[in-house]
Amino acid sequence: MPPFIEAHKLEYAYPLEGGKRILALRGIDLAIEQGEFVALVGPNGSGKSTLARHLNGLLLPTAGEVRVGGLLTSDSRHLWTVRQQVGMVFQNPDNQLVASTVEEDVAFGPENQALPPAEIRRRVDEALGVVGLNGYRTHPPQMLSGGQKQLLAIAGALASRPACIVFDEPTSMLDPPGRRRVLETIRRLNAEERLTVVLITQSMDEAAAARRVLVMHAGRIAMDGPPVEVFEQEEQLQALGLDLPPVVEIAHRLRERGTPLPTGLLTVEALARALC
Amino acid sequence: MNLLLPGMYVAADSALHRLDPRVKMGAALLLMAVPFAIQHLASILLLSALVAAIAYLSAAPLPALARTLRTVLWLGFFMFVFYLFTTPGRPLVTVGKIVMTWEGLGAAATQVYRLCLLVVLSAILTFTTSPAQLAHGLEALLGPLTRIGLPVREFALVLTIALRFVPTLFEEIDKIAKAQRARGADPGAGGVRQRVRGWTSVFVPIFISAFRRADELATAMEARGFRGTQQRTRLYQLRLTRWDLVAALVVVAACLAIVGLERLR
Amino acid sequence: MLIRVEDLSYTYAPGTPLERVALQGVNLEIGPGERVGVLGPTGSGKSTLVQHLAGLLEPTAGQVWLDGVAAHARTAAARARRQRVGLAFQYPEDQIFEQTVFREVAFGPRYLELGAAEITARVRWALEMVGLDSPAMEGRMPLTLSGGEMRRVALAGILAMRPEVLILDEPTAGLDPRGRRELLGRVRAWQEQIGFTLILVSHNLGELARVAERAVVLARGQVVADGSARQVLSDGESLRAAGLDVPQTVALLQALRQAGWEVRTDRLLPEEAVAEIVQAAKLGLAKSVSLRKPEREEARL
Repeated sequence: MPPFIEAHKLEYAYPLEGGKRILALRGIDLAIEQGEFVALVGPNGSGKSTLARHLNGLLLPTAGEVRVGGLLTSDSRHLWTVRQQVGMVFQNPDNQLVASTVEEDVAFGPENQALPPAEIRRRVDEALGVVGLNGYRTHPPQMLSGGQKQLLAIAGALASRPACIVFDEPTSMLDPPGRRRVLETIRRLNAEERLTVVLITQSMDEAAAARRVLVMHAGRIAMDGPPVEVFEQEEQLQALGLDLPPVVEIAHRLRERGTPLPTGLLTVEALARALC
Repeated sequence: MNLLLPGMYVAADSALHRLDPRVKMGAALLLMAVPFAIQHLASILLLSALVAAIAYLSAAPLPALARTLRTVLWLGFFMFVFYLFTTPGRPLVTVGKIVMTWEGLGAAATQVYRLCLLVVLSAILTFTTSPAQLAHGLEALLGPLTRIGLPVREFALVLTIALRFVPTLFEEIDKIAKAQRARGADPGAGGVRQRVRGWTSVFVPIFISAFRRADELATAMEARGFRGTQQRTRLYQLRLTRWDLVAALVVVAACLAIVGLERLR
Repeated sequence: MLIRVEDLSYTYAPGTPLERVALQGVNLEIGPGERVGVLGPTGSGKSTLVQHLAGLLEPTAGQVWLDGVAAHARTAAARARRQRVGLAFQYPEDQIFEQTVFREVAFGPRYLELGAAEITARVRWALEMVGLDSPAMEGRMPLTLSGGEMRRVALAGILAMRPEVLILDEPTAGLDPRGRRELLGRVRAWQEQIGFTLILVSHNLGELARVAERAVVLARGQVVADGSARQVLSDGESLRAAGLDVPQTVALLQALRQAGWEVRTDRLLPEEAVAEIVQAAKLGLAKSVSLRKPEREEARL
């Protein structure tokens, strides 16, 4: 089966004043399979958000191509199918909510797809159930916490029944409890609902939960592999301006000082067990 | 979230809450027009009784309604004084050149009464009808105008989004105002130039942020498949029930009766 | 400046359906030059608390004393003290509105009734402190700068007022790891150089561990912990009250301690944890006991 999302020699250039251009993406080749959980990390300006916006056709390549389910995003006949297949949740919880009540906001996607009202109702109920916001149906969005707003945004994306959701730094404006709830929901969506997940994040802790980590730098994919492998490249990550989760860093230092430790220790429990 | 706008919607289950917004808006408009067609005390009392009955059916707590009247306290006061002293007629009290007339008293009372009724009726309307429902009702009522090319659906969408962001905007204004106050800007003090700088320091960032918000929101809407309002369906379907028809008939009949009574005298 | 918070309570929108008690009987004293971290979940009252410290809110009950003067009072003495407290809200770049970087940074100092020469000197100094002292920077439009640069301009605007107390609410929110490290390093350097009282509101325990010597935990409007950063940030109970977990370093050391190692568990930074583990191993305080739960429970029986 061909990969669900593919990019071939993807380039994207922003136009500037005076006819100049900035190359935000410099020839990306990428394949994401159905059901994968991919984390996309990199410093600000590395092109993560730009790449994400190519996956649902918000941006179109200035060179190269992007395919979703075999369909070209640049083909206007397929644009709406692409957007139905790949949902997106953005960083600012407030700036993606349009309606005055929770259920109306979830309904926005299906309404745009011109589904019959009974079907919209079904989808809204389903999506609210999955994220656990059933008790808040008629609440106005401003009464929700940041974490709940993001869950609402996720429900809104789910209501269109996409095969994949791209999360653009969904937790960076949340407090730790909110962050945990959102990440747990994302993890569950991938594990139980088989949703393909692309999670853009600045936090290596969050990236550690994914099954595959893509590290971007200056418009290119610099590293691509399971978290365990990527975190082994400590020098390279530091050169790229990225952190390691504390556990991984401790394991590295201990190994440097001669303690025999296996690779691939990502959690406190694993490291503690290895030391004992 | 700290700001309680007088007359804001409160989710409850009163008789009025369950009515169709179109009926409520139409009734409100009608009832707001009636006080301008009546003068006699009897008609005024009847109308007031009708409005009181409606207020009762709305389950709005009296203190809340009273508070909404506070917003027009000063306007009402100035109106009263204005009509009191400028209506010609039989003098009531004379202070030098300034004359208070009986007719003035009557006119002032009537005008203030009309003002209060307008405020109370719109408070009851917004208390029993959520912003979303108001927008739906408006969209439905103005719907036929799309046939002559007016962007009714777009307008309704703009209205809904604006309503949704009002509380968010207030929060942001609060935050920016506090941030600038923390830097020393005191909106109340200083000469004109200082005050202008103070206001600028709050409103420019809000404007900038509003544009950024709009941009992000538009992107999010596109990502959720928004492609114009033409073929959109809706989760909520407004449907008239018998109670809506009954309520509409009752209000229309009562208004006709009150105005008729007025004419007969 | 001595800050004294006495039985402070604050209720939002009293007497309305939106009434909410944000702070309840908070008692706190912060002395000059202290580096204090404030943590707590959303709704715990930390923003409300720091706004009181800057004199922006009037207490519903209790009082905030800045060098013996009520912070919110309308007197000249109170105003003078408020001017010595600098507060940066979250995403401070949102408050930028002037046409040039210079004027933006000069905004605060201008309210201090200083001479033009003094203002210019302060603006230049502040821009140097945030690392934006290139000659072209003063005349640039702030909105054309990158997010990180705009944030530094906003912070310069507060530094230029030469506060004796600097309160930063999540100063690194939204920055990438390198940006966070740089900013935090600068903040630390400023504090060491100038000696102001630093109050840092943050969810990021790693950052607090690097900058704060004292930590205060708020939950539901009350102080649930107040002590040395080392002590508070390794105390699971009060952190959980704030919806937080102990840092991974502490969790690791606690797990080892449970396995019989004799290690201190209040080492907050990775390098400290490493040092602690290595030392324990050298001194033979490490035990190779299995961590498998069922076995240990049997042993206890």
